[in-house]
Amino acid sequence: MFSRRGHLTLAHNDSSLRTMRWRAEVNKASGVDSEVIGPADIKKLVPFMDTSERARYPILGALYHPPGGIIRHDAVVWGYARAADAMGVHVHQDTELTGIDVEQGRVTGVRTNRGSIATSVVVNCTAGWSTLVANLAGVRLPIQTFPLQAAVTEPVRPFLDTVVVSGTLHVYVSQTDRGELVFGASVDPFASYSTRGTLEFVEGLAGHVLQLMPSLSTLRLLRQWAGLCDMTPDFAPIMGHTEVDGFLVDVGWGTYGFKAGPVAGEAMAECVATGRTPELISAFGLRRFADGSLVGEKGAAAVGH
Amino acid sequence: MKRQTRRLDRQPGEVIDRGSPLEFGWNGRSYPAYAGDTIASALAACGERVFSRSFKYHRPRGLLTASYTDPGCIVQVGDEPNVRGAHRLAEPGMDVRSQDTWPSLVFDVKAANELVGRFLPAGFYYKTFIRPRPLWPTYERVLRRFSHGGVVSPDPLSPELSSYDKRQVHPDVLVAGGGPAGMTSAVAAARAGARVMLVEEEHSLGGHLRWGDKADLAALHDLRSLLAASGVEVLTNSVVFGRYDHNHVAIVQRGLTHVYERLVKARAKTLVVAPGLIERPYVFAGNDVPGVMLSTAVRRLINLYAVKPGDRAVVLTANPQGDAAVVDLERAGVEVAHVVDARGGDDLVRVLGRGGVKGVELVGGHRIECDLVVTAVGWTAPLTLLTMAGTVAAYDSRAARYFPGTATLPDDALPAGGVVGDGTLDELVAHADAVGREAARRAGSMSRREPAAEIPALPVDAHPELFHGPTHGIVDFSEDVSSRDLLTAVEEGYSSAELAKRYTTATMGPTQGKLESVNVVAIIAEATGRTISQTGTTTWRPPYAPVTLGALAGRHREPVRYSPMHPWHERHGAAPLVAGAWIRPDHYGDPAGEVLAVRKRVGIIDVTPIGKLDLRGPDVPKLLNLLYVNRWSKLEVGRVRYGVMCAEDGVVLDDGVTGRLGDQHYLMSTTSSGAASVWEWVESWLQTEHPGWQVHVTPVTTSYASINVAGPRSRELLGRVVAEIDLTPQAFPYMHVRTGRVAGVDGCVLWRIGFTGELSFELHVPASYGLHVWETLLDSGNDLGVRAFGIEAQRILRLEKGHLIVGQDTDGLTQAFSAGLDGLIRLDKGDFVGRSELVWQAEAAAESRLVGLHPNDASVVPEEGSQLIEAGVICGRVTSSRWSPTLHRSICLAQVATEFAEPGTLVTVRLPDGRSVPATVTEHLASVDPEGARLRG
Amino acid sequence: MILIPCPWCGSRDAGEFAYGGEPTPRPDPRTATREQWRGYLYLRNNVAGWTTERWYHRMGCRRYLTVQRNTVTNEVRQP
Repeated sequence: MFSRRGHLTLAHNDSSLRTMRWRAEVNKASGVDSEVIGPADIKKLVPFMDTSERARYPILGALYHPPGGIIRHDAVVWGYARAADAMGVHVHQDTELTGIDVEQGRVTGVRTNRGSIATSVVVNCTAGWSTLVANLAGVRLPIQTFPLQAAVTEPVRPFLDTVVVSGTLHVYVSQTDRGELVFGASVDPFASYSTRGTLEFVEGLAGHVLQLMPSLSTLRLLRQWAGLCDMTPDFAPIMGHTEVDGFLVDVGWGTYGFKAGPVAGEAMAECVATGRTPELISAFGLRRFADGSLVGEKGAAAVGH
Repeated sequence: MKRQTRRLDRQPGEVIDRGSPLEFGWNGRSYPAYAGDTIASALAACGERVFSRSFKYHRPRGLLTASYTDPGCIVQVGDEPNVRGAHRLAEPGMDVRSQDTWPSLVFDVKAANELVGRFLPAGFYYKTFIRPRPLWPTYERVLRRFSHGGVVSPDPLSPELSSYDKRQVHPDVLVAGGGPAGMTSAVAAARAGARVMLVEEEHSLGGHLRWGDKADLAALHDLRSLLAASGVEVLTNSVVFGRYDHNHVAIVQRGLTHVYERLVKARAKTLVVAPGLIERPYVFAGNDVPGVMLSTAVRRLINLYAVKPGDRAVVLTANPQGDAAVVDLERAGVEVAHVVDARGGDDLVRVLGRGGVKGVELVGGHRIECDLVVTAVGWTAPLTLLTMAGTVAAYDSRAARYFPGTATLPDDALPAGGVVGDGTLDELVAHADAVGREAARRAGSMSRREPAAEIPALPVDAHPELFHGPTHGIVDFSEDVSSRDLLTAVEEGYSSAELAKRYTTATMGPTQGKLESVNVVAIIAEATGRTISQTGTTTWRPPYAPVTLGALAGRHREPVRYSPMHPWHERHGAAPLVAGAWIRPDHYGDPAGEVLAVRKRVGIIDVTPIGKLDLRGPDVPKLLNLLYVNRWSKLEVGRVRYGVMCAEDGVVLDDGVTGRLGDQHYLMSTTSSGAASVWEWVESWLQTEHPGWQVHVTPVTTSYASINVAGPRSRELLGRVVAEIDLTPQAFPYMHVRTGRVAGVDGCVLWRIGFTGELSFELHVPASYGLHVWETLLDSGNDLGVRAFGIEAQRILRLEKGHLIVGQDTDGLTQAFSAGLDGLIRLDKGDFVGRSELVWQAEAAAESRLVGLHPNDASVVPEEGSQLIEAGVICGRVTSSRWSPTLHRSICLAQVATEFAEPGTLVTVRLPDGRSVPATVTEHLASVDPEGARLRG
Repeated sequence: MILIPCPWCGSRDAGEFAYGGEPTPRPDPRTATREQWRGYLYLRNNVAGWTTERWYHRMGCRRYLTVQRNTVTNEVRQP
């Protein structure tokens, strides 16, 4: 299910090349296989790439992360759901949370469109609706919701093995096993709960993809869609306890994708089970905003902000 | 050459031009065609029946719909993949090939997959080939070979495949769909005074009238005449592929002469949605065998292309259109062996044959030999454009199709034609006429007092609900998903339409759900014991029709900025540096030599991209005090000052110098990259927080060309081109500004500042004289050794001097104290932007500091981004580093944890190649002239 | 592209504007607590529905303006 393809984050200018090297060095210091490579090596990995100097935004280098790849996100979610179900977790699909009961600063239950549930612990791990859910418990989150759009093309025979990301051009490209190119980008320019998608997104996207790989202009876009991203002021997630006893959050993952989801879930489970915040996520607490100690995670997500 | 053995005599509605024969290639063989033929109709006229292999099982596939949506005839044309062969017109010399057929279309080794079909069940992407786990990468390589589709090449495309453009239009009424309803609406709207655009996917207007009877053809003739006289702009072979917020409508226009595809962006006041209906395939065993076609497919082949689709047919019909197909077939000389009337409860059990239809089995086991099976079991309403506008699709079981929920229709979109209802042609036309008038009224083309047009109701015909027969068959032809796969998905718990879609990939292929989505929902509904309404639909997403990346991108248009001196730079071999919108000279071949010229003699650099804001008014000092962290109230006329701006969170935002040119006149400079954002920042504070302040802001970045003249002999050089300004140190000291004439050019601003650390003058001259002043400086200073220097030399010079670059030596979270700006910040000057955070920051002490750093081995230049590591923990990073030609050693700036920031501290730098080298924190940020004697000279 | 009603220029493509977001009143810096100040910096209502927000007509009249927008449907109206 996990497809190791190698992951390239392109640098089109001096400052992003510097950032890539910074990231590579931090990765190496943490034992992660990661290095900065030059245009010739990029061309070897991606023969379709325009690595010439005459490009409008010439490619100066890239952060190359060989173990990077793509994973079937649906399968991961379904796997977790099945395992949870097998362990006795009740999964209520299509159920809307309508209220959270808080008495004397403690959670006592939740109300839904299909009935009420008494509980002393609620974990808000929604995306897109995290502020609306937190508001039900009387907790304010420093989050704004922005659409993140994506699109796929019709399938063509495999030609692109690696995952390619360009922050300067706001684009993310990979080819699925089915032959489709999958494109992503950075979040929309204004906050919204719309998942309808926009024309300017696909226009900009196509332009940027063709700057990277000019011979793809006859490839047809098949489908576009949008999801909601909860963006925090430091682009890092918020995890752990809140001022309401029993109301925990694991929100604000923005454009991270889901790669950190499993380990964050384990840390949250420890939070719930022991009442203590594990060291791993202690820097990500909600208090950090009131305390003025933001997290420097701007480079963590695949797509530049 | 092949012969057109299946071409019929002239048909009354045919669209081929028998006077214009042509030839094209199919898998390397030459085939005849007539102008107007599609690739598929030409091949079918020569008796070809198999055009592709299916995705998973590589079963042979033939024509199903004979229209754009046909999943069986997607082909490669030259370098163009995935061409719809049943839509694309055949052209002379075209090189058409089948896709995904190895080694050939006739003998396909991958068809062996069918024998191992148990390995490709529902959700096969999710559970096939996973165990044993170490073999997954091998399996994946195999799996990727199965990916279908055409071939793209890394080589540049031919000009005809690489020219695209865009057009913006503002019609009052845009009509999507050029059948009788769309044509009538367009004419009615135009007659009511609206500017109208009509868009039709096919190559000609008329919809189903084109393959209708004599009366239909006569009606079409009349409609075409009316339309021609109406002034409506008609785009054929074009598709409305999206209706976005605020009725922004996207159209792709194809078949143009010099442009491969054009994106037409319409800001429509009203959108009329008249796409007609799509015939729905029937799910039963063998429904994908070549020779099984929809009734509309055979009627198109016979009536539009004069192609005889078979010799002996069995027809399954549940509606008058199916009955009409029987008439057409018989007229074309096809023997109709049997008509299965589904309205009477009759059914087809299975198709016999593999490479082509050999017969059918009826209920009860009776078999009939035939080579053509035609189904007419119902219609799908393509509601994509309406659902994109927020309309909810509602299922009507009596009519066996979805309708737009009228309560959820937006004001600016009106449906017409088959998506609304049935009825006679007269009824459809009367309805569409009213819709057209109402669309014009809503677009404001008619008087506002005009009452809303009375839109008559259209009757809705009853239709039996027919989705599948008694056997399992293919549901999604392009994804090779069967009804059995859907049942498996439901059994495994993927019982919502959306989940089953993802699990089986049904509706996710090139036909985009147009043919199969209702069947998918119906089969899931039945399997879960729910109604279709309860099951809901999958979401219809744009684009309605696939559109090329080329059309979406349009012509490549990326603005670039050059300074007025750019031609000189090019002539003198400057290496270009892309800096945002600007192209700048990085160096002229010898950055070290350029540095030394500045240190020893004099150099000039083009700094035009520096942001410049002209500020006028009595309240400018208030603005400067608010935005900069340092004190500004006492800046006298003729002085300049360096300032740093912070955001409200205390993070460094930008820096630059501002000079006071007159009593109420200032010139502010910003970093090049901050030019636009600082301007906006200034406007934001003035307009939203202090609207009462009298300050007028004019951006003058490109009004001036900017030249920095730097080096010990800069005063001497400048003296030769300046007459009226006294340049002596007493008359024009460091951090002062003068205005006047330079090289004969009036209106120049000169400020004495020193980013490079040398005596230097920054000239801002009217842009049109930039090149003149630049060349005059060079011509006047030959004997002084004047030399142009580029960005790289400037970077080295400023690093030697220890001047930070915002964004390089600081980052998105670096607060002012960490940037080493303690001496600048004036917390006692009253309120300013970011002050509150800086007060708290001062109390807390910064966690890291910007320091100067010298590797102990002077020859080692650690790359920028190298990490400082102590006891295995990162404690800082090198933000800037260069070889200093002045000092003959490597020099750095670094952000380090405060405990390592004391001068003299030994730290360890981990180089990208893995080596660790010691380095020492220096006393000053500056390595050259920390006292500033040179720039004050 | 949605249209933003500019009171000076008329309705224009949103691409001409910079999004300013929900206006948040600046607390009095002399009296604001850290909590209040950081609320001003970081907390927004993030309403799903009608909201009032600021846009800057960057490529037009260069004025900041206030618009009401429904963040679910993207309908806009002048306040």
